[in-house]
Amino acid sequence: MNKRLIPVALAVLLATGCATGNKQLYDWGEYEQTLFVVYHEPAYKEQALDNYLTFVREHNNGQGTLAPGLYAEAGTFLLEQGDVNGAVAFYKMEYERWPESRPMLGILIENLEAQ
Amino acid sequence: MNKLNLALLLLISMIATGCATTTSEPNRLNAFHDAQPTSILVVPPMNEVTDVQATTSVLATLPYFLGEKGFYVFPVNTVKTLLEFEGYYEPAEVHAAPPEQLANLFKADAILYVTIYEWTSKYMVLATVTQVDFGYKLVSADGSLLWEERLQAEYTPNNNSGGGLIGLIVEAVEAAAERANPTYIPLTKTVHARALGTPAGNSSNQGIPVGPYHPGYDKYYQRVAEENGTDETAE
Repeated sequence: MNKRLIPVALAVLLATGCATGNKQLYDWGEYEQTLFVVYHEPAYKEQALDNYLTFVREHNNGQGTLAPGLYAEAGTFLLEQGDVNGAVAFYKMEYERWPESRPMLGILIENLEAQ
Repeated sequence: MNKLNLALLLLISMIATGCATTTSEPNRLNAFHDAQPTSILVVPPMNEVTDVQATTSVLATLPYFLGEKGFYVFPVNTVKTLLEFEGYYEPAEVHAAPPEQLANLFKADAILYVTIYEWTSKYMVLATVTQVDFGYKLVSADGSLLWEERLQAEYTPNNNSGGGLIGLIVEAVEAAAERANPTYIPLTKTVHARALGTPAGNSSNQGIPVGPYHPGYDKYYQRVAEENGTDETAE
């Protein structure tokens, strides 16, 4: 009976090893590619930003797997397009999720709401 | 990440391993361990080469490695935009500003300064050699140095075209390179992964410790405390 357990234990060990090895802490979506397009490919910028905003909105479920900074980046993309209310909404999500962002975003949100 | 990208990254990490240039320094992380930063402000990299895409490409590829390492990484494009509002348009101006002042502006625990020393593709007769060379410097909010690293890597597709798996990968890489010259990005990520992603510890002279959002954070600092506690008797 003990002998039969060994391969099972081994398989479990291997499986857990693989699982932890590949696991990422966060969802990053196409964040990096979006930045490349924003900086280098103006022709595709609108499409890339649409996709990015859709991705970030899908993570507005309180589960907290979206990578740090990604709500705020969505806010800044909207701010650049002149959508102040949309920007503030994303900045507030970042503010709620990440305490480290609060000094920076607290002032930013306050200034934008005063406009 | 698709399979080609993964294969390319693996291949390049093998090449990059040979290029690491660090000397053994057992106490290199003492300042980092004392500071234990939670949040890292990544300012736009300074570029000592002519390719204008180098700065933004290096900037865009840094958050992943710092975030997955367990730190709160300030949103790089938002930071870049806010710095421009504050009058910092050039990376060189940001790098020259007092770190205390920058850290205070965002209330960041630490600032990561990256300098791009090399970012070139040299067209040889038989192959294109792509080279990158980055200097990393992590400075705490009070201006003291926490960690620094300098790494180079180069990539030459034709050197490895000896058939088999590597031959296949190289063919695929060359086909991709013809389409969009993407060699810089995987190479850049490989260097970031070595500089930042390598698990820090006594056996390694590279990498930074994990941050507080990493599941291994408590264990890491327990080990640091144990090693410090036994320093006088053990060695």
